[in-house]
Amino acid sequence: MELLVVEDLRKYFEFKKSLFARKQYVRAVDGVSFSVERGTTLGVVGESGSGKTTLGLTILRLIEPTSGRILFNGSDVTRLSKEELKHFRRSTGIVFQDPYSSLNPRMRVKEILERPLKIHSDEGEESRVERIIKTLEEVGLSAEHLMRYPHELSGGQQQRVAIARAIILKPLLVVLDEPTSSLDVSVQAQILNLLLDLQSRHELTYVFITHDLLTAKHVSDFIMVMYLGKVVEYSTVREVFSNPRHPYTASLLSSIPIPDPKLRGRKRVSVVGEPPSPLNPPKGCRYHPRCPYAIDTCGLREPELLEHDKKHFVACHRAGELSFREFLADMDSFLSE
Amino acid sequence: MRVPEVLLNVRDLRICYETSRGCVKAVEGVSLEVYAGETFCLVGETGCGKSTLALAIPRLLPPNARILSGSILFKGVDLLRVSDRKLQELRGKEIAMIFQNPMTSLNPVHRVGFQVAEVPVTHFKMSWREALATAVRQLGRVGIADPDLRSRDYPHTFSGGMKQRSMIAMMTTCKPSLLIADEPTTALDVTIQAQILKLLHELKNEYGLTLLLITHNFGIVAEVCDRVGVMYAGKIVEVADVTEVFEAPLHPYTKGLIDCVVARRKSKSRLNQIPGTPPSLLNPPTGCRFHPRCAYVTYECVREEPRLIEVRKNHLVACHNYEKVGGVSWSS
Repeated sequence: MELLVVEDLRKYFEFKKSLFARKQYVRAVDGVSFSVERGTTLGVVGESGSGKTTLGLTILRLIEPTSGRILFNGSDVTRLSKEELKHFRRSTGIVFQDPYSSLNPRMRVKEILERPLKIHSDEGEESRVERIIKTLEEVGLSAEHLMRYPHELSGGQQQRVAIARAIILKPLLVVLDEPTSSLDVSVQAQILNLLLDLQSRHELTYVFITHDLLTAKHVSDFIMVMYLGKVVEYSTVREVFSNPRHPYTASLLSSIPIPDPKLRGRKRVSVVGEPPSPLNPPKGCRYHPRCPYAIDTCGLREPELLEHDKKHFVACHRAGELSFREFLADMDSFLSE
Repeated sequence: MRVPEVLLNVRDLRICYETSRGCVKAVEGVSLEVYAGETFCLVGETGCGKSTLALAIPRLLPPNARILSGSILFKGVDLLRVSDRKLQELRGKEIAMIFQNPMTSLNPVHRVGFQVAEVPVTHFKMSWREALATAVRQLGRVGIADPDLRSRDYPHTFSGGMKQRSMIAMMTTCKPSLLIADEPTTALDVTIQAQILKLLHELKNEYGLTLLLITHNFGIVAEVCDRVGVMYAGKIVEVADVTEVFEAPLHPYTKGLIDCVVARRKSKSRLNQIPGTPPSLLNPPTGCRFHPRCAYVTYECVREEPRLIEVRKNHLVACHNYEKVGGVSWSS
């Protein structure tokens, strides 16, 4: 069953260079469609400026979409009444990249976790505290952390509190926006293990936003690759990592530094230059100025996201003819399961 | 076999930061040798002292840092005891440094070409006209498109990757012997990271540089390094060749770090994790500083601090129980 269906979602930010200048738009999310099944994880990957964070905020209606539909459990999130929206808030959670700035420094852990309970349920103080302690234990903390302030906790513990806050109301969907990027390697593994445990225990659905492809591969069932506000490739983890069809995905994969010195001299799919400004994206395929495989059509016409194999969507004019298997053969032990 | 020439020799270095809460011992008795022409990586987590160590080499530590003891020999000269004037001659010409955040390392009020040209003007007494031409050439070399035009732009018009390229151009115009790069790609996207690492590698071969690279990313270590030093809580716990480190690490911390990297793990499987968090350097644990988190801990570890000793050829480790530490779990 699909828990979340997103159709042609757009979010444009208005932008003026000066008071009298013409309005310009940053098209942060530009016509994105996908769906997420209940209990699975969708990994959203892309570089900075690809619109992945905006996407995460928009599907939770933390910012208003410009257009498009977001169906959550069958009802359109963009048209909810105030009462319905409150119910929607209860069934969703979000965890941000930097745990310290996402926790109120003047509140104790107890108060931080009590907030959602006060707003969404009419339990008494005693049963609230009981529930908070239970949730703290679930995320690997304990009653002793109840009266601490965020600054008294380590980065990993802060992120555990942020996760506890996101799951305390037993939501169906949690958006994880780079939840491990600001943590140390040894702590990253702890948090990833925790997130996977929670998912299997509560049948949570995750939208996992990250720029780290190896992390995305580890936690996701499906992968969506974004470039300048557009989806360029979408498929199962296995397909995207073993048989990428879009040159951008292939170059992302071959750019990952692989922790095995024996793979140093491997063949790579190159990428030219840097991502252009989202304010003024290139005409045609947005990737064409950087793409080593670009042909004339790429600069003229924008490719549509089409299904090439079963459940493998690619937005590239040359998706049918290009194969990157030979480039990625060396990395196989890292990229396939 | 030719005996490699030691370019940089750090001996028993101890550095602390004076803070209102006491003395933070950021570097505690570190000894290290970097050979001419190699790429040496210092790896470790936040707060392990790797950046402090790097900053101490060109004596760029902040004012509240105090060097308690030790020496840093560079081509036989002790950098900690040399005069300021002599040091100024070495900085940029012999020892160059690139930082993590290229946005804050360039001066926002000067044109990029001017900033690059300043280096040869200072060190080689080059005329400005000649230096600016050198700067344009060097900017082109590091991959800035239209270097002639772009050298007249200010840093804010450059993207993150281009700023880092400009920094590299600035730092390599004098062809220094030692280039220290402190997390040079951490602030950059993964495709740009790959480009910058490739560039550093090319320049190293072209100019015969010695590269001291500081990172927390084991992927980068595997991609570019010849030898690796692993730091934990202000100490070096293991030094070895890069393949040794990945295939047969001897310190439980190194093994733990490599084990918890997600690559090579079956999707959604549990990762091996190191319990707990790195200790506070205000008040580090007794004995071996890793013992509270270590799976191989014995009574000896709590009581006595292990010394960094060479247990195999070119493989140093500071652990009482290194013989019990098996290879990493994915390679077996």
